[in-house]
Amino acid sequence: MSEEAVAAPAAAVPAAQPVAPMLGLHPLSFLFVFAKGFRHVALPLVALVFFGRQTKSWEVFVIVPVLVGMVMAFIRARAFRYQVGEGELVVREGVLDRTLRHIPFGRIQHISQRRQLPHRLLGVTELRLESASGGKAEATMKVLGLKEAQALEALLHDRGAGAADVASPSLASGPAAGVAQGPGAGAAGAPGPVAQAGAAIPGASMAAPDAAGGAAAAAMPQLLHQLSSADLIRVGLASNRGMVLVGLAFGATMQHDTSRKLVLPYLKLPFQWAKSLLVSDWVVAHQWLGATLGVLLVLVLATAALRALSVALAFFKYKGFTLVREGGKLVATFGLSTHVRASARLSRLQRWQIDETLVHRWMGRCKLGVAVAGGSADRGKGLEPGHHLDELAPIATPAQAQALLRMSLPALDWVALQWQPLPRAGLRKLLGQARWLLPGMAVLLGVLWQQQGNVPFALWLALAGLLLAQWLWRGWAWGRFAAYAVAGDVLVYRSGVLHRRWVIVAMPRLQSLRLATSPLDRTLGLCTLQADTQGGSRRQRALDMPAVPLAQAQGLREHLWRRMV
Amino acid sequence: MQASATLNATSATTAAGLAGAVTPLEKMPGQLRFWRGFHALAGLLAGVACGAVLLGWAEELLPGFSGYGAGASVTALAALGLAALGWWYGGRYFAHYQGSLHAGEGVVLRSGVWWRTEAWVPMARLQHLDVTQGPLDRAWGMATLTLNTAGTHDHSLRIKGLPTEQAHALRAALLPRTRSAHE
Repeated sequence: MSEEAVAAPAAAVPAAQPVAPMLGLHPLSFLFVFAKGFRHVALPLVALVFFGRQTKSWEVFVIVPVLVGMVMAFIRARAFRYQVGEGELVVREGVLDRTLRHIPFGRIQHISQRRQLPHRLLGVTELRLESASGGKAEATMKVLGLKEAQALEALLHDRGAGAADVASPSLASGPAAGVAQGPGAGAAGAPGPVAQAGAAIPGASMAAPDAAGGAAAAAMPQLLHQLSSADLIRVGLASNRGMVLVGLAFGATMQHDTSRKLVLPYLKLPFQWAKSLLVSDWVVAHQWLGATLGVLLVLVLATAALRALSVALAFFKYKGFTLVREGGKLVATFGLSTHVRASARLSRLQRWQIDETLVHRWMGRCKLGVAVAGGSADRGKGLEPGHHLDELAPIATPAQAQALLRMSLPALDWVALQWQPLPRAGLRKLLGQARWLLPGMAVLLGVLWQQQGNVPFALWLALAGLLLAQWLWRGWAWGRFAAYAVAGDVLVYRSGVLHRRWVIVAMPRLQSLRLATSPLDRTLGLCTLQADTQGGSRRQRALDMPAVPLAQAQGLREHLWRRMV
Repeated sequence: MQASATLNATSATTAAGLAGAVTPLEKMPGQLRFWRGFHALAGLLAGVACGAVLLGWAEELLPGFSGYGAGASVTALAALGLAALGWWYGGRYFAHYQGSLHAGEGVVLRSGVWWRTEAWVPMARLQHLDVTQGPLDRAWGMATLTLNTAGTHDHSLRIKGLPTEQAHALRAALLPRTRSAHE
């Protein structure tokens, strides 16, 4: 006991500095935390309130546990505490399972804020602190008042800036943070409708050349790309996100009896109209011509309706899209009711992709997307935009896209690219698909031959012939267009028939390589070359080149390997 | 981006000696035993399951079916045949499974019988390495080395059947140093 009493005063000596207070979340945080659960019981609650005991819906019994969950969320939101300590942020959360986290400032690479409509109405913001590796955020604070959030950001800036001088300088391209954005973050003190996000703390390395140059140029943002309203209409026309909206609406209404009863009669209207059109007198009188025209009309109208929805969605998501370069960092701001400001350092861009669908070609435009290291965890789902930079240009003319590429990859000279075609690529694709397509079609035709319905077999045969002709043409066209080009440290791979893609990767940023061959590949002397980068999608590799001749693939692999080791 | 490339080009030599030398990694016979046993068991179970399902269908679709004895023996034969096939496949898989260390550069793993893959993982991209041993591994003196990179799709590569000491030595040799580039 006496040893402890002696040791206690000795341990208390270092705490001479004033200890920062433990701060809590905004009093209304619990509203946002259980807003998610509330959505599921909103309709039954409304039904219960308005229709009384007449509803026998089972969701009524779910209300009790959900209410208990809400109370728990309230208690947890009240128990959340954070404190800015010496070189680290201390976060204490949890009621029954208490967690105390120490987050060193050097780990916090990216602070982002997102304010949706409810946040803007109530004057609060959701703050996320993220590390360089992506994945789950280091700390998520739902929600803080605007002033507290700005104070915390400023405090983290100061402490982070202080720590950068003493931290050991790692490699120039180590997991360093971005440029100090002091003036930018502080100037937006007024709680305007524009949300702010993406203020990065200068991390462990100030040796990065672009950071040093960027600090001087941080005050001069350079506008790179901007979307007008006409561009937004083009974005909507070229995408089919209208289907996403339809899918979401469908999913949302199908979950509850009450919503099903309310909404389904209206959803059925277009189908009933289409049916009445197809069995109308005119169509019956004109037999096949009428039927074909009727189906075409329905398809055209459906596509038009979906594209109109896509245009509305494009406005919702991309209104006011601006891409600005601040020193070594790219910042994109966009959004109608949810204003998002996503940023990324130029040196963290891993992979670029130019998309050009048929509609894009008709309009003379294309789309430039980008994958950023550490950005895969929070893709926007459905209608909600994510926190990260996904696209350098949702729509742009080819010249604008080239300019943006030149800015991020100065070594790439598009015009001087030597495209290496892939012989036998079309053949490989056709043979690979023929393995299941031809037997499947044969079985289907056999079944139809057996059935002998009121549709003559010749018609099915003609349809099958059309399908085969289209399939052959697509394989041949795919083989003709697929090619790759190497320009110094950059590899470009193009592919596609109607929807064309150009994938651009920088070799030093590749993480691993893979050569794969199937028995069919080995028969034809081909192989598939694949590579992976940070920040891509989990479902798809960054680079996937099928049907490369074996010798060329090994040479290319050696070329890539030399630049990766 | 350019700075990191030049720095990596002047990488130091490793414990294996000359940079660029290729040394194949050892495969323990315990791994062969494991793969043979695993695939044989899988074949056996698949055969028994298929036989049971087919017998069930036969009972439903053909009223008065009474060939259970014949059905059971056919199932047993098929299951044994599949087990033998699995045994053979395990041997082939082991024969095609080969890892190699490129001194100072990285690791290559070739695997697969019909769908063959070569996975190339550079030292400069390794985030961390794990050595794991299951109970069978411990009994037969081998370990699995997992190499993790920062990629999203192919972020980890597992090399199985390494002798335990070699696995630990490899991990020490490949440990990511502060000079490695992450961008």
